[in-house]
Amino acid sequence: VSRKLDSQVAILTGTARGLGVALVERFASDGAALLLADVNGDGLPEVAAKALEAGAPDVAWIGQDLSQEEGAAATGSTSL
Amino acid sequence: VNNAGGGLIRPFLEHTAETLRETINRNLWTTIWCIRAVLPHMIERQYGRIVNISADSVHTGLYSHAGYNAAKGGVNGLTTGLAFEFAKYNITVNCVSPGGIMTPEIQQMFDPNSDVYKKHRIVDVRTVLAQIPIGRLVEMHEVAALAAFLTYQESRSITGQIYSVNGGQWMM
Repeated sequence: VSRKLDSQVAILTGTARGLGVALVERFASDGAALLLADVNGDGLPEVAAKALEAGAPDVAWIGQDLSQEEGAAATGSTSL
Repeated sequence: VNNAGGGLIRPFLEHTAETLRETINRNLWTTIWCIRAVLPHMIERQYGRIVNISADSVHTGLYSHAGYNAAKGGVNGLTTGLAFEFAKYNITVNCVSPGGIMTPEIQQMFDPNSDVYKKHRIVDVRTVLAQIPIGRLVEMHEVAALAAFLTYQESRSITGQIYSVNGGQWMM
């Protein structure tokens, strides 16, 4: 079954909790490979596991302060 | 999808310079820096979908939200400007703007004695609930579904838009 985001990569920020987790679950079930980013990097492995369960073909995560240019740049240049 | 946010919701004059700066940093600068980081790659691919998570409190005002709204209103302005500028590269930029949504944190706000309620010094969330025609807060997966739709191939003609998901609390 083809899914809407098969072969696409999505970067989702603020994904350690709350709405971010719901976004992860939705994009994962749509088939996107995911890069998760949050200032609270410690919370991300658990959310990444949920993403794989929900159907993401690949998941990476990065703990960065995205309110700083360097943190956002490091996130953008991280490839799956 | 620029969902990173946070900061403090509190009466404007109860903010310190530091809490105001943190609120703007976490809700607006995160979005600016992340978009700047990915746009060159999107231009190279001649394809991109950017979805910013804004907030309907920009329209409703909402008690104690002035600092937060300053940041989220900035996100809305960023969205329309970028949508115009980068449309020629097949890059769309849109906002999903939730009203009251049932996050674990907001669930705690139903209790005025909760830590979350005290931290944000926000109005009783039940008074907000009374203003929502569908009679309930929006579920998080409903917001996520719209964000996902805006990244689909078939959304290619939708750009520069701010979409509320608010149960009808604010219309138009």
